[in-house]
Amino acid sequence: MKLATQVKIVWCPGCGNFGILKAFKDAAAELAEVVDLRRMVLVSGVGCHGKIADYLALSSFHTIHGRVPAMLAGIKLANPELIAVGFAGDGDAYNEGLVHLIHAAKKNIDATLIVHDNAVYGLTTGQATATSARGFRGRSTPEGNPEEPLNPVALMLASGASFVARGYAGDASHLKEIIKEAILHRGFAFIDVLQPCVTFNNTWKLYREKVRKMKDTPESIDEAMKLARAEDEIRVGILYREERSTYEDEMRIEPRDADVNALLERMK
Amino acid sequence: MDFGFRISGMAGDGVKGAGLVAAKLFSRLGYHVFVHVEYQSLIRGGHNAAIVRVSRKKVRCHEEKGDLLIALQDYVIPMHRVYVKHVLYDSSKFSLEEGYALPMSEFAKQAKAPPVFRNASALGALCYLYGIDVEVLNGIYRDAYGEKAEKDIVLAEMGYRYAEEHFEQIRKIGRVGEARALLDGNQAAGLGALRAGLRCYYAYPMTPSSSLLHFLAARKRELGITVVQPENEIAAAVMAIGSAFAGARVMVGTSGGGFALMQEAFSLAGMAEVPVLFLESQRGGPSTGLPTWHAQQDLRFVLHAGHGEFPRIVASPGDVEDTFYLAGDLLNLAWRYQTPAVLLMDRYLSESAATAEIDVEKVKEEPPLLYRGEAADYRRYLITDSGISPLAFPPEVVLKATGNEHDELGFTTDDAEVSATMYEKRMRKIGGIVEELKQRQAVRIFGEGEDVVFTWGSSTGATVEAAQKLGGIKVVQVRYLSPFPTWEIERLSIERAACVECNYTGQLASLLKEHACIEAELITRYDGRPFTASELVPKLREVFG
Repeated sequence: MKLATQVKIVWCPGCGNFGILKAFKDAAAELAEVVDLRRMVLVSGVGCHGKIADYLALSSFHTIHGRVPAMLAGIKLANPELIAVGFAGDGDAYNEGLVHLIHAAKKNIDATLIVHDNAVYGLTTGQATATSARGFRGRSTPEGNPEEPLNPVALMLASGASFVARGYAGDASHLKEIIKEAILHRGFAFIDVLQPCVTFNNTWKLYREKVRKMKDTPESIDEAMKLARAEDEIRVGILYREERSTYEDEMRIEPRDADVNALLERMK
Repeated sequence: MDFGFRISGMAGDGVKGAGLVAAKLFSRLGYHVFVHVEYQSLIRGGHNAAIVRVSRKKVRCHEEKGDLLIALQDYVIPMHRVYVKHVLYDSSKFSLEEGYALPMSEFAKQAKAPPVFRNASALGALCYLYGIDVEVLNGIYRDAYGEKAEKDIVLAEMGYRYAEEHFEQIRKIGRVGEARALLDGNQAAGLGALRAGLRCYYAYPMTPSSSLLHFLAARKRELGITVVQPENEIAAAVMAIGSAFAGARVMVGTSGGGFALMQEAFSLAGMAEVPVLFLESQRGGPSTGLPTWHAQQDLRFVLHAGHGEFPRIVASPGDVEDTFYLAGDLLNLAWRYQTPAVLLMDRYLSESAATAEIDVEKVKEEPPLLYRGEAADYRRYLITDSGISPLAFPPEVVLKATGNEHDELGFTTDDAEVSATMYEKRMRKIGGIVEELKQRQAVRIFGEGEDVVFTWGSSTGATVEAAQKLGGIKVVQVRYLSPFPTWEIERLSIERAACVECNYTGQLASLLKEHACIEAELITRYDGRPFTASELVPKLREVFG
């Protein structure tokens, strides 16, 4: 199955999104040997990342800002045979739609969410998001961002996500492995992908210095939390995974033809 | 024969439940009943009332005047005394100089039942007062609670026997026909949508829509429907769009405040051409307003909901049966035209139970336009004369949907020509919807005359009854509000016009002016209370002389 589309890619040269697109394409190509990609449905939010739906020849819904996790849940509740993969931005997932993210993790919807976390609003030309560093000078924070950044991985561990990972757009082959594992995971698989924005928040240098691949997945959630919050280095890899029943397992009712006449009879 | 009674107490006294059981006593004997429930936004204390009307004829509204008040608290009596001839009260709790003294709480104690079971003894006494065999009441309890009905039955009989010894009968009620189904507007909406193939229901709790969430959740396995209460209203709307995109028929339930939160998603459904049925049950606004009281203030809001322009189908039912049929029709139309639809309900319609004769077979799942070509050639937004592009779903095809302007394949575009062509394709669907509505009943007409009263939603009930009392007046219930059925309005012969609705500005009246140059005298109220026929008679007389 050909994954590229006719659409011309319009991300800035050097954008971290290219690494994420490549990692996803490679992951999908490898997964095609074990899953039918026609069953895959992508959902993307609003922001530079959202254009990814146009660059992949798979079913997709380019939805509204912040609501990717809710749409993934709706798709899975309607047809659990579909493989739901979401793409969101940091402004999308951690600002506008944070409530949906937390609840998707808590519910354990069977979907993967890949967050293109460049710690800035790119498409709206450079404002601070929930993951922007304290002191970040954006166009709406000319005196520096007064807020501490959110730690998305720690947040997801605390919210009950059953698969939590951090990836790096600068290491597409490592990210590909994480994405594959995430898609094969039954339950909510969350990947925060560190992604430089060459135009408004160029973090390539920082990440080259600080990103370090983890060898193994930590044994416990406490250990995972410690690594998620470590400041000396930025650990990338799968921090946590557990098996538990999904939201669709619990909530989805197999459709049947309702006998409305019988019900009305009982309302007499 | 047309009479009524009411039950009142505080929240927690089981007033609504008792009112529904009492109403069933009569509907099982073949009478038409209507149950109006008043309650406040609190869990314990305050004032609740169930006002029951019984008639040989179809009734679509309550009446304040009645035979009897069953008083479960003393402080509620002054609010109701003026409307009733007799009071039946819990003499174990307080004493009155008049009325039927029934030691309800004492009976509950004797039966070793929790205090709220005292209602069963009151309903037993009610049976005697209306000359109804207490077995009818016992049967209702048995059907509702099975073996757990024992205490209710014991108390019902204690109440009946006590009344037999101490009270005088008010009326003698016999069977007049077969048992009738008793359901409220919310339940009818759920059942109508189910007949049209509803598969998922998404709702965040909000009065007066919540009871449908409860009704469907309790029966989801029997009905084969997924029922979800998500994290908020935005999630409810977006989940619904996701489910419909994946091929499932969906409905979202809310009230005005919740629908306000769904605006961006509503617009997305319009742009991405995803069929979603929204149930918006109005309550008193603005803002939190009168959260448990009635209003019809959201008509203009719903007609203009969502940013940008896109086709929408909006309809408002006038009674329980009408709700069933319209819910089914709207879900079918949403799928045929791949656009959002709104079933615009109101608190009085949603939460009042009434006897209804529903022809279930009249609503069926009507198939949408489906794609039958090669998967590789599929174009989700194929330009067509009707504006309708054939539907297909993954995994059969690669399906690309988006809230951005797009080309036929569903890829984002900002090309001027493609944008205009796609915009026109979507808007062309309105023409098809208009032709479709011409085949359906876009308005309901009651009575004859050139003095015409327009109304919508649950105001229809009281308006029709008041007009019948006066005679020579035609009532027009506007069922479909978008597209507005100008063709139906223009064919009316009108001497004088009035418009009855529960809002301040006269929102339907303004539509009549906008679409058909009709100047209608406004009869409005905005105090959270629905109209009754008795109140409307003098108001209509004032307009028509």
